[in-house]
Amino acid sequence: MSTEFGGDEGPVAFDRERAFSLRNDSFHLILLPTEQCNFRCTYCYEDFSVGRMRPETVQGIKRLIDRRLVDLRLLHISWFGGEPLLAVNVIEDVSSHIMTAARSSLRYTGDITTNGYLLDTTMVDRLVAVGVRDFQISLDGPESVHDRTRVRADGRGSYRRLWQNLLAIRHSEAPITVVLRVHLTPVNLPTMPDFLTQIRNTFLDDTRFSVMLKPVERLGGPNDAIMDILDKGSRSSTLAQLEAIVGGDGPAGRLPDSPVCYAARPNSLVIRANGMLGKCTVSLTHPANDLGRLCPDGTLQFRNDRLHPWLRGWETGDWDALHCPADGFTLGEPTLLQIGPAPRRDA
Amino acid sequence: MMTETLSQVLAGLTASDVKVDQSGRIMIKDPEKARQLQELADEVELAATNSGCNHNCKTE
Repeated sequence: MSTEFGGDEGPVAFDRERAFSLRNDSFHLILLPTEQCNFRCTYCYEDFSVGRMRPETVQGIKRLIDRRLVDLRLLHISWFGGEPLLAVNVIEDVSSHIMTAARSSLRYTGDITTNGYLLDTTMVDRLVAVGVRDFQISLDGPESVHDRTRVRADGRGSYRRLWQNLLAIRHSEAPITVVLRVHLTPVNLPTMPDFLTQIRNTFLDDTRFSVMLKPVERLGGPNDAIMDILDKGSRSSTLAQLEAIVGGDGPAGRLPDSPVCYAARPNSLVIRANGMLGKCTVSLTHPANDLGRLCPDGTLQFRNDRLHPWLRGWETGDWDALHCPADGFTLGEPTLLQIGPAPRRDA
Repeated sequence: MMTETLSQVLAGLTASDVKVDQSGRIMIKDPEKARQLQELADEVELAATNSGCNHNCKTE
């Protein structure tokens, strides 16, 4: 069966994904160099309670990578936040350490999820220099719509500078890929045909750019109760109509995304700015997503007693639990496979 | 052939059989199964991970 992610969901694909997830020569780290943000998007689920990554955590990450380099063939680093570019020095510190320490046989890749506000061409060049070459940047529609939801911390809009940065990248020759993540809500939906046409005409003849359409979800933010989201019954047809405008094949040569969330993979870890370990980048403060902590010497104090529910999709063969193991767990009612008492959502 | 063997090795492997050690390495409870999986895993191509965060969250 083909999926929206461009992959297969048959038993062979399941076994291959599972075997890949158990490989010790592949390691995916999602690093949050800061959990502060210069935006206050109206649908954001983060609480900005943690600041910039402290030096002992940066040191711990470098020591952890050193411990693993001897047997790694693939190291994938994803930078996330908060807004990671507010702590670009941490990104450069860790990434340059990897590039210096890595053997030539190591395949090292880096991506970043950024709001794009600080992503001028100088910043792009700094990131490319340390191996961060894949960018995900969100847009909520044309300026009048985008600036109502992707609001800066000072209350002002963000569109003009973001668009300027995207145009500058478009006119550069930076060896990167840019996924323009376009959020969909009932409010911005009427603007989407024209907006996506503008996106297509401005960027999509450049194979470095692609578009991912993503309905906004209620993910635990303070505005969830008053936030309107796309009707789930008509999403498929809505998405199909809009995807027809922007193609949907992605940049040439780019592999389709995996149908398995990193949170379901044993060889993937989140390291928060405060050194805490997790699996999921959405349920950041949920107790079930507290998998321990990183020590300054690079060792992990790992809570194996909390690992099982994140891996339950592999046990049951449930692709939904592999797409989003948090759904029905930390983002919803606990499943039967959960160990121990149900975590409190308000904890 | 490899996929059939892989399926056999993975059969019966539960989430509780999987642990993470202090270096982030995966430990399989049954050493024989771990050895077989290691051999077969070398034949499995390195797949694509999600290239950015929050791709699949609560996706229908």
